[in-house]
Amino acid sequence: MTTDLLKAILTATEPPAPPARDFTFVIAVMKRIERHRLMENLSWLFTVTVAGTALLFLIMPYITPALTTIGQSLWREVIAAATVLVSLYGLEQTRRTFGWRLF
Amino acid sequence: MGIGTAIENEAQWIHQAREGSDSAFSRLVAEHQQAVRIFVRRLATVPDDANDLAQEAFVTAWANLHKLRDGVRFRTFVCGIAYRKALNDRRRFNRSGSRETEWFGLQEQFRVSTVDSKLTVQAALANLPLDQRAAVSLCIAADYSHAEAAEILGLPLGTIKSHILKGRAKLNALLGVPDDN
Repeated sequence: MTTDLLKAILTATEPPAPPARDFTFVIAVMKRIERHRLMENLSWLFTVTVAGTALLFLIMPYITPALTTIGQSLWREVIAAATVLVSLYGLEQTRRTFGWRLF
Repeated sequence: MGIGTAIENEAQWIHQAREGSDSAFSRLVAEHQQAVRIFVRRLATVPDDANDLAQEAFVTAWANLHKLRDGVRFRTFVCGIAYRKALNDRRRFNRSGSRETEWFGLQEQFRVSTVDSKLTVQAALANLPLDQRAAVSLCIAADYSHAEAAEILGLPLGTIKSHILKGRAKLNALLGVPDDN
């Protein structure tokens, strides 16, 4: 049997090809990607949280006295720095989500 | 749209997808889903699983987009991933002890299909080893070049040519027609 004939038979005996434009399939793939991304983010957050908690558990007994002393004298600066850091982090996350460019 | 424009668009979408654009990646999926699904359908152990396998291949491609080398088409990249997934599926399927069931199923189908050419051809194709079936599917049933098939299957060019020859000879033998080559 020639290659052309074999090709004709193989293609003719198959079930109909999927449509060239199939948005249901594309949406299904993108859903899976979102799920994959969510699981990646969750596992990353879980790892960071566990590592952070373990680190704090180990070092807190040593730094607590120093933090108490600093906290009493610099509490305004500490709150201001924390607010700035959280705001910057929030801004960066928003920028990434909406694809904004700062420059 | 010409082939040149299509390749340019593809390169642009790949670049954007690497930078995190979901819309660019969804365009790549929309553009190549048909070719990938047709290829996967010919390989899947259970035909109903073909869409699932194709979707998984696209997700893996998304996660490994940084590994896509310049000059390699996106469909080649995804088909390669799908082929390796199909190989793993086949190994799992064989390990699960369903091999005999599938074999007898095919034999039964093959015997019955002597009066039905559709079943005969597809059963004969399903009887080929996966690598030969993939090579025949790509280079005979579809219009992939030998080089592209070699890239997809991760095999040397000579092996691809040999798989095609052997696969075609086996198909002809199974169908009971003389081989012209």
